[in-house]
Amino acid sequence: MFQETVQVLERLLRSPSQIAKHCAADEDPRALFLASLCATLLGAAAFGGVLATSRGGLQLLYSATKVPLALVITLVLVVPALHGLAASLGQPLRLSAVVSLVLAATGRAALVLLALSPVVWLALDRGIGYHSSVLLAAACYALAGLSALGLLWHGVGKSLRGAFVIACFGLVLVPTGAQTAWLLRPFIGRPAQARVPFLRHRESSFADAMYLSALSSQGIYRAPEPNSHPAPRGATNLADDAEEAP
Amino acid sequence: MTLTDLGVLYGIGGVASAALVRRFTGKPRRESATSFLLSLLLWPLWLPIALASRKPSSLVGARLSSDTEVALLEAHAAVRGTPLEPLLPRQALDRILSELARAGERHAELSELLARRHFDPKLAEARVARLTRDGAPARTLSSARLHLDNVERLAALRARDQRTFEELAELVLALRAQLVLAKFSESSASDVQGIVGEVWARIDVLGTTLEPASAGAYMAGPAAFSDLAESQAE
Repeated sequence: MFQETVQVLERLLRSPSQIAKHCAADEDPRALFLASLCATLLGAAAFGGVLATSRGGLQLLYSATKVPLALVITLVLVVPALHGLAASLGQPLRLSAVVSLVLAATGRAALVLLALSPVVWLALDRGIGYHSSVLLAAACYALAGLSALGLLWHGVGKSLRGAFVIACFGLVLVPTGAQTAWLLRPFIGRPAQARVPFLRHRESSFADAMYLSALSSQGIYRAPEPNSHPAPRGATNLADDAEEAP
Repeated sequence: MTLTDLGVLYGIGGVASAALVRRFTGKPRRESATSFLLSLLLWPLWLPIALASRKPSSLVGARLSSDTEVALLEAHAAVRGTPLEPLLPRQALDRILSELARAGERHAELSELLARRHFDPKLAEARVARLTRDGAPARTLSSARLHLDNVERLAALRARDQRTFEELAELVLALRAQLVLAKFSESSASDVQGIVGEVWARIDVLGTTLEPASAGAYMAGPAAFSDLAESQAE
């Protein structure tokens, strides 16, 4: 079982097309499912832990728990969407094949995150600022996401129609994943913060936070716009609370 | 709807999924624990996987083998220690049981294989028809026809084994009854010898492969196959 898992992990990185074929074929998907789930949980946990190294302490444990959690919750929410989109756009796949495919793609992304962890760790250790580390993490997520999309494209069908299915799926995946992660903040933790919370209060949205964080990284600090979710007591600048999302 | 409501609904879904997976999949204990946890916690992802990977529930060949095995054991028990024991000695019983087990495994494997989409003879036939209609290159068409032939042979092999299993089951039931009757009525063993010979003939059939001509006859229908089998026997 262990050897089989290692082989699947190797194929996830080296042969996305083979993995995609395996998902589409009518073969037993359990080994691939378990290996992909392990890759997702371990890779994301390691990356989450690395993100929290600048804050340290309890944040390490929280981030190592929340990054995999955000990925898994997102998967649970978006898998039916891909199944429905693929079927309605002329690329039908069995539900088990869609689950295997999406989980394998996530596992691949998590392995890419794991590979990028030393770079992020080095950058944090070199003392890059809080907001720059947020953007660095977002860039890592984007890179990992691209590698996952490659596998998905192989699985759905490497054609224009397949690309269209993936593009439509992206419209569901990106906001769902981003907002899920936004709800599970903080992942990095502000160094000046005395207490490390497991979750923050609900406020604003992921898109607003990324915009303000990008401005803050250039030294431009803006107060948040009034919105439907009132900020919790003591929160004065949304940009200070803004963080990346997996 | 609050987060707690969602959590409760998700939990209910998890319990229902765990029950469903347990109902439809028979697994060894260790694997069952993993499956149970995944069904409970990650049911939207695990449920399709667990249900997709379950074995076909109606492995008729295996069930028939099992019934046949029970009947054979009872038949042997009926004559053990009597003058009729040479009709069905322990060594012969062991050999028949071992051949049945092997043939049962092959039948189960074939059934599982033919349940897959890529081994569906109708789909393979439709593909050949479509390629012919579309004017596909000769080589592509030839490969598709070869695939169709192979799939048809596999289907014919499964059908033949299935039929042999059914015949064998009936013969063994008759053998058991005949042996019990011979034991209590002290009647002639000549009828029993005839049935034993038939059983061995069926066992031999289960151990053989299928010739292309036989496969074609099977696909044409049971009657055509019977004609072919009779002509071969003659």
